[in-house]
Amino acid sequence: MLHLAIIITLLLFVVIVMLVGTLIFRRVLIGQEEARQHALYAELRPLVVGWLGEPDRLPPEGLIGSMDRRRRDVVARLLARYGTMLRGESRQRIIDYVADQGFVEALVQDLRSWRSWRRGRAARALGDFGSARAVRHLSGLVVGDRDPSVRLAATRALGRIDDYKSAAALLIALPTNRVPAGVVAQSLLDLGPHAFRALVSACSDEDVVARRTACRLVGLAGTGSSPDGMRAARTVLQARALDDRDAEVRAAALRALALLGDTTSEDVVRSALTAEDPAVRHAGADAARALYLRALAPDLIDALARELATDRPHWRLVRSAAHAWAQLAEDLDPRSVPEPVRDRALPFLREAAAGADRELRT
Amino acid sequence: MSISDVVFGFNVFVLAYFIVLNSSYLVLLYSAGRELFGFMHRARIETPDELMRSPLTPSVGVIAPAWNEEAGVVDSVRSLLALEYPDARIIVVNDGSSDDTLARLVEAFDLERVEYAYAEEIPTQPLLDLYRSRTESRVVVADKQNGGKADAINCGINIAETDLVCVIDADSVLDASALATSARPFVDDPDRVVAVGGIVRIINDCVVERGFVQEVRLPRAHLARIQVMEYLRRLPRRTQRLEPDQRAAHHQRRLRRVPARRRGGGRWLRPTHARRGHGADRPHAPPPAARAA
Repeated sequence: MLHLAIIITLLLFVVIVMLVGTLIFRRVLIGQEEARQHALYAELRPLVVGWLGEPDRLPPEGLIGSMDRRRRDVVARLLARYGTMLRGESRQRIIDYVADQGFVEALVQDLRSWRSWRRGRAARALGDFGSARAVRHLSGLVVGDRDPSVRLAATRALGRIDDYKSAAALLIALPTNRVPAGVVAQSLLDLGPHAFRALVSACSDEDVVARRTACRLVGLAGTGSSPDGMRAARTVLQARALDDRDAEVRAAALRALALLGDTTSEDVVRSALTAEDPAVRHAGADAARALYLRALAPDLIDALARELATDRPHWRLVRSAAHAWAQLAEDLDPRSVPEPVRDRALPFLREAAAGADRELRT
Repeated sequence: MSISDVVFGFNVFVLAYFIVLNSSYLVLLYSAGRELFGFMHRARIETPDELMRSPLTPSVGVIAPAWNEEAGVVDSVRSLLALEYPDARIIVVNDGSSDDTLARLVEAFDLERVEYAYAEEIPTQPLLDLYRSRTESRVVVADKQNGGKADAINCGINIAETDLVCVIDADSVLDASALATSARPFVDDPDRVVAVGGIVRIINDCVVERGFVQEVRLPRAHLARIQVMEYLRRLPRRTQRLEPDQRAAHHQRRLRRVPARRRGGGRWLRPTHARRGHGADRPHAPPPAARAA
């Protein structure tokens, strides 16, 4: 027994000494590597900046031909960094360069690595380079990788590759629930015009998460699109706001219509103010205010009174309806609120009137 | 049984104890090493600026309950205003202070009383007035009757209309990137993340100017130094909800779930921040019910 304890103690001692030794050794190696990388950055940064700073200039000697792994790594990091900052011709030169020099191929190889950090890093770099050739590989990673951080990196990378295929890949990923809808949404938003048409189509998707996200994003992404695109978006959004079986989709569509400034959707907003779900009524009140639909003032008071008559009112809805009413009604007469809930409504009406810089009739 | 047997048995016990202890440390060290390795690589993959420029970034209400904090409340609010986050609102709840806390805030931020309908979704002591700043649109100050720290936080939650809430002490100083760092897990994993923790450091004897930590120093007082150790070893954890009549926890570790009904999904948030150590930190006065008891 004692012998066993002594052996275990010695083993523990050896393990701890080895651990400490390994840590020290590793720290020394990392320090040396960092020093080498600093030297390489100092050498290569002026070359890269000089090359990118002059239009039509070919890559200098130091950036072409065969390079050792460390040098390639530093060049790749520099170009990835500038790739996210630059647009237009300079960015295109980076995209062409990394494709010609085999960087993209190497990174695509890395996407198959068994090390998750290597896959994630490669995915991020491919996004920074904006390489359209990588879309197919990244799409597979978004839904197929076992590591969540790699899936996130691939999703974000797709958002930085200006290609319509990226939007399609992201929309396919939405219903799978392999990546949070918010992250996919951000990537779709990053794609801007490349995603708009796909987003409008996705507003009618079978999957409810896809519809919710698409409706939400069309309003944010649509302001710079063509008149035809806007018309199509409005039609789809109005239909979703009226008829969708999911309340969140209806609310998202209403908010998108408000963002697009669609004043033709008065009937849609009026219908929303009588909806069963409070989220839809809330979005309807906000939309009425944003679109300045003055004809809806009586409907807003009805919505407010109905909510206050319930046992547990949704206060945010009450507040929104009151503020919208104070903006839109010609005469701020609290008597337009039915008697049973008037006292309950008064503080909100007062707050809204003060917020709109108007007087509440006494 | 002879004495030598007893001594021998005791030695074996001590040996066994240390074997078990050190083995468990090794296991912890191994798992920490793995996690650290993963963290370092994940940090390389992440794109930190994304939250700052996105219209989809969740809004955060920073709730700072204050009770007799006239000495530091203005600096604390200034430091909160310097937080790097696109959609943050600062809600200071003056919990019936008997000193000049409110007057200092009114003067520093040019506060004006506004008409406000207080929707008391969580029951609290009465709200007396709500103030908004004429110079800093993000600052709201709620003046309420004293009800204890938990009650003040609940009042702040009633007022905040944000996706996330972050509760701190009015004598705490947040790191500029604390909100962005804390909000990140909610974006990356919205289904599983309901609360986040942070690293708390003692600010005593650090050099703080206008709400910013300029120089980090160890506290001179021994008790506060011990508290530094206490904070270093503390693990972030989930905590239970505060009840309105519950005396506030000493270090305000507790986070308050935002009622799901109000926001379509409860979210909690706690930031990385520095705070004052022993002596500078005191819980709010107990609520009237507790005092009567």
